[in-house]
Amino acid sequence: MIDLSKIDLSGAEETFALANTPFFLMKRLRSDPAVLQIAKCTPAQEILESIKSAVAEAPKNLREAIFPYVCLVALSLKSESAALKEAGAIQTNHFDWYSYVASVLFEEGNPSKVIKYSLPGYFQDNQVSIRTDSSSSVVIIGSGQRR
Amino acid sequence: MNRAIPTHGMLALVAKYRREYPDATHRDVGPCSTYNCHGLTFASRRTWLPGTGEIQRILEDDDYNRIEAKDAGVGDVVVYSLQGIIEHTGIIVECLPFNDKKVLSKWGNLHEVVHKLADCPWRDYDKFYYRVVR
Repeated sequence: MIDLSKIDLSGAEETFALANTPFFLMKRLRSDPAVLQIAKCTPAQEILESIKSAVAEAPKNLREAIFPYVCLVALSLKSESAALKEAGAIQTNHFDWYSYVASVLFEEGNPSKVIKYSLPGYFQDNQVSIRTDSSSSVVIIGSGQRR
Repeated sequence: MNRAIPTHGMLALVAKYRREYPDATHRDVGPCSTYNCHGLTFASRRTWLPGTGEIQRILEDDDYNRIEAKDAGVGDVVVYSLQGIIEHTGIIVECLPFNDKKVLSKWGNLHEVVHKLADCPWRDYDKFYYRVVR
């Protein structure tokens, strides 16, 4: 487990206090020294365990309110998609932006796959793209004018 | 959505911003998470409005028209945006020379501030101006 007392979260706290949107929070945290320190020095599994512990209870102060987001962004910087996916599956009632931030971070680390198929006679250039994303949704995009 | 978060530590941040932005008028309103800047600008301080999609919808549904900086006056809205994401909004309360303005806005979970356009944490963002037309 990450020892909160050894990390300077003052910058992250400030970011959280100013954030109107989760996007602002994510963007700022990516360059926050505390996030970079955790990403560099802490194994993914340990970060994951810290998140699970942190989101289990309602935060009692600003440090506790920002800590899960700090850990999430740190986890995303480690490029370990399995751990990030597991983090995204964690349910919490105490952190309103948690699910959104986790899903966006996972999506960014696992970009959509695009496969092109030839469908003669359907579109002008005979091709459609099938895109899948992390939510397993499938989007079919026609290329050119439909006949 | 329950946006309530602990206020412990918030007062210290308000004090910090008072020091960092001495030319601004820091109102004794907040910190609180009942409403954010968008809630102040568009919802009479009643609620926390989340993000870009909602703000763009309000701008469209409530007949806000984009106007030039030189035309923006008291009562118009300023939108601070970065890469198409709306991050901050406020209401113009005074026009200053050289197209500068004074803006009333709320700084996230913190307090309300009357500040010059660039005298705030969103100083480097693109600024767009809107006026409601009724």
